[in-house]
Amino acid sequence: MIVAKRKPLEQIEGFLEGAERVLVVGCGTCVAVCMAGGEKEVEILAEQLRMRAKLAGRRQQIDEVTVTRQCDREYFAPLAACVDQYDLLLSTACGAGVQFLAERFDHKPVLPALNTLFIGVAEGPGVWSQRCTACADCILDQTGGICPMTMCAKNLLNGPCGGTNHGKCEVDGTKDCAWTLIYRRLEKLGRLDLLKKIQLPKDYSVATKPARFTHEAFQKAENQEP
Amino acid sequence: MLGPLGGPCSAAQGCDAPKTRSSQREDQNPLRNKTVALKREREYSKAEEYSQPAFSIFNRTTDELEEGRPVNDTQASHAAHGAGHELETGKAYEPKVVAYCCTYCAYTAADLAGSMRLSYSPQVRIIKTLCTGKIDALLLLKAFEEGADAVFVAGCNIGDCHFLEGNLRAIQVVAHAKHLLAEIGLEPERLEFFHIPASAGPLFAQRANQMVERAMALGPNPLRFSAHEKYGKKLQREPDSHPALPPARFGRLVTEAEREKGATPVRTPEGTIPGA
Repeated sequence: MIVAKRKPLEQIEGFLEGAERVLVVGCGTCVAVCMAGGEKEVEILAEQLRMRAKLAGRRQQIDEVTVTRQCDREYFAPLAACVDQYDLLLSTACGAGVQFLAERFDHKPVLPALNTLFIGVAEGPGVWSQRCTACADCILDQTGGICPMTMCAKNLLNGPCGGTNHGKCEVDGTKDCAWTLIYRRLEKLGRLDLLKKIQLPKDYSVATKPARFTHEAFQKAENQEP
Repeated sequence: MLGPLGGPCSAAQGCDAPKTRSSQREDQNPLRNKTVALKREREYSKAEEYSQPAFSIFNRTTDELEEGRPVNDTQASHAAHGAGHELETGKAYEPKVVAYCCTYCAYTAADLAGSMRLSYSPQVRIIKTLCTGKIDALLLLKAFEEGADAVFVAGCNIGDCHFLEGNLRAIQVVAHAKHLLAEIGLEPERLEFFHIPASAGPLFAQRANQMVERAMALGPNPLRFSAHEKYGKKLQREPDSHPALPPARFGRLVTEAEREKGATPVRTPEGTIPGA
């Protein structure tokens, strides 16, 4: 899941300067789960902006709507009917959703209300942590299901380094050393032999930006298109 | 004056109920007339006494009670704050305080306060909720947008929640909502969470008066004047429409009745399929 965090209200309010009619567009998928830009959060944000506008004595119409996903074109269809009424769209999706919305309605300014943080998991209520950097070449089979590319500050493939300090990282003493975690996990699984294998340098060319991917089942169809 | 909770209503208005039957007989017996008049006078004077929230001990905040300040000081400060806030219409400022009360504890406590004939400020509007865990930040923000001067959420003591942890959730939600209010530019002190057990009628009255006093001290909610102006809404969205599935080319669904020869007919919503 993509984890995001709402921008400070002052910054968002700054975006809306001069706009009389604003539509806040929520996204009901990842950012709804991480309580940043789903239906409820959009309602709260719109409510806050309305109250700010009233306090400042501005007549600003702020409406809100939440679509199922902002990273699929199909879900923008219902918005097409009403977008022209607004001066500005404020998207509470991740960076991908904001760009896709801006691409679909390229005649309107589309502005981000969130800062996209990482791909992560929910550790507990209201707490998320990063687990994946989308390196496009997964090695979790070798490391007992713990990703050194994400969890290790130095991205070491053959760890640990000399800086591990009682299970903590020398870069940030509050964080666990990924390679200590990997050792403990492999010990538990009885697969410490995996640590003896030297990992070859990673092929970073597969993770060049901007990445694009076509599913095999659709490759033929895509090639046939005029 | 509050209706369902009885306390301030019945005490302060002197109760209209006794008038009905006695008023029919009033002309017949002069002696009885005099007795009734005296009794009513006594009732009214008693009611007036009760209807002065400033005289009540429950009007004082916990801090004041601890300091042992005389009751009249509270009354004086009450009046002083009130005089400072004149509304645009020229009417004196009367705060609107919304209380979201848990039905199992705080609402029962409010009921008890009424049964005990405790006087508390009539500016408190009580909203019963099944559990304070249901309350979310949006609900609290809406109350302020609609012009509430102060809002409090009253839930069970820690460990007493009927739904185990609803009150713990409410504490977090109220803390979050305070942060949201501060972002908007409203005083977070306008919002508070209180633990009020069901047996604590006097505590409810005290907390209610405390919030009214706080609303008096903070002055009117700046959004009060624009409470009825709506500058936006939630758009109604149709459920997602999916394209129709293309007709199957390599087969079709076969019902159980068709598969087994001589099987008994099967009833489906479309009709009866005979055994093929």
